[in-house]
Amino acid sequence: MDKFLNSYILVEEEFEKAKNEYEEVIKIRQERNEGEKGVPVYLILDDLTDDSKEDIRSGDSMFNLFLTISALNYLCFHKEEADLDITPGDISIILGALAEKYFTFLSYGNWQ
Amino acid sequence: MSEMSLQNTNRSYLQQLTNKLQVGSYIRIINYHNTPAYNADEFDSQLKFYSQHFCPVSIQDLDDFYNSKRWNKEKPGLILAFYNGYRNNYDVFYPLLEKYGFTGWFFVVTDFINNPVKKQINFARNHTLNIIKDEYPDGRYALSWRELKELSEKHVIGSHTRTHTQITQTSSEELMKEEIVISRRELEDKLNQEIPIFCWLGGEEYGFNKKAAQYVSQAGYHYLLSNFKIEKIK
Repeated sequence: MDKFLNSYILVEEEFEKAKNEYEEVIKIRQERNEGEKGVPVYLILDDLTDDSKEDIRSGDSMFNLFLTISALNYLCFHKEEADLDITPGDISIILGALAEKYFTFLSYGNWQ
Repeated sequence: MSEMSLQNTNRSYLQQLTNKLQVGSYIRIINYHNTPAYNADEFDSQLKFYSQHFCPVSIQDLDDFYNSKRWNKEKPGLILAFYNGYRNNYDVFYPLLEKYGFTGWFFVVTDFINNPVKKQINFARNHTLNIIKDEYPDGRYALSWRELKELSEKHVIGSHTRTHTQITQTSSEELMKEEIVISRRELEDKLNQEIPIFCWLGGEEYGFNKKAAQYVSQAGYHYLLSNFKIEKIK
């Protein structure tokens, strides 16, 4: 794994718990009829008109960090376990799973 | 591109996205396509929940977000996006948006709306648009222009191409012009308002096809919505 990924690794038991939660939520997404139900996702905001390249800074910084760690840990685990490379599909899955876990109707009932 | 460099590109892209996530350069969105009546109670419960925890996002809110680099409202913003221009978005979800004071972002396929009722099922079949069998006995599955006009008075309208055809690296310029430029022009003529945002099929970013990107800019769109991003381009 890349150095930047390894720097975010959680302790083992938290890692295992996060992995199980992600697998459950990804399964829920895969079973959903996406053509007839809402599909939540985080979208990254880029401003191509702003030469300063200053980022939008929103939300709670600790929560943002938590989101990032959570996503990267899942990807690390999933990819290391299966010895696979990261694909655009994985990125899509992780942004969707994050959304599912942390801001949807389902997330409040099942995860908090 | 070799497998190794593709992999490096993916990792670099992931790093770019996670850096943005970490500082909070993101917005929450829920993507809908068909919204059939048999799911209305579920949609109602969801929207009740979302209206308690989030606030709607208008184009002005998105402009302000980009300009100030901060989200200046009490609750986080949530975009509810509807793709393709299905009639059941108007019949089923629009009343819920009204009930809970939420803003919908409707990305429509203009030729789906333009097709005569008798031809809509075939058009859908030939352009990867899903139709719910026997949902409408009269055969009209697309929004009408009157319905879209009504939606446009309170909600955001975007183009999702003219014919729901994917633009690829080998697409002709004529196709790009039809899907990107002409669709916007028609929406603006029919709705008498500026169309600020475009979403193409396949979910690529602005720069994936330089010629297509030029058409997106020249058409006058302010934003491009892709699989992972909203990009401000004007």
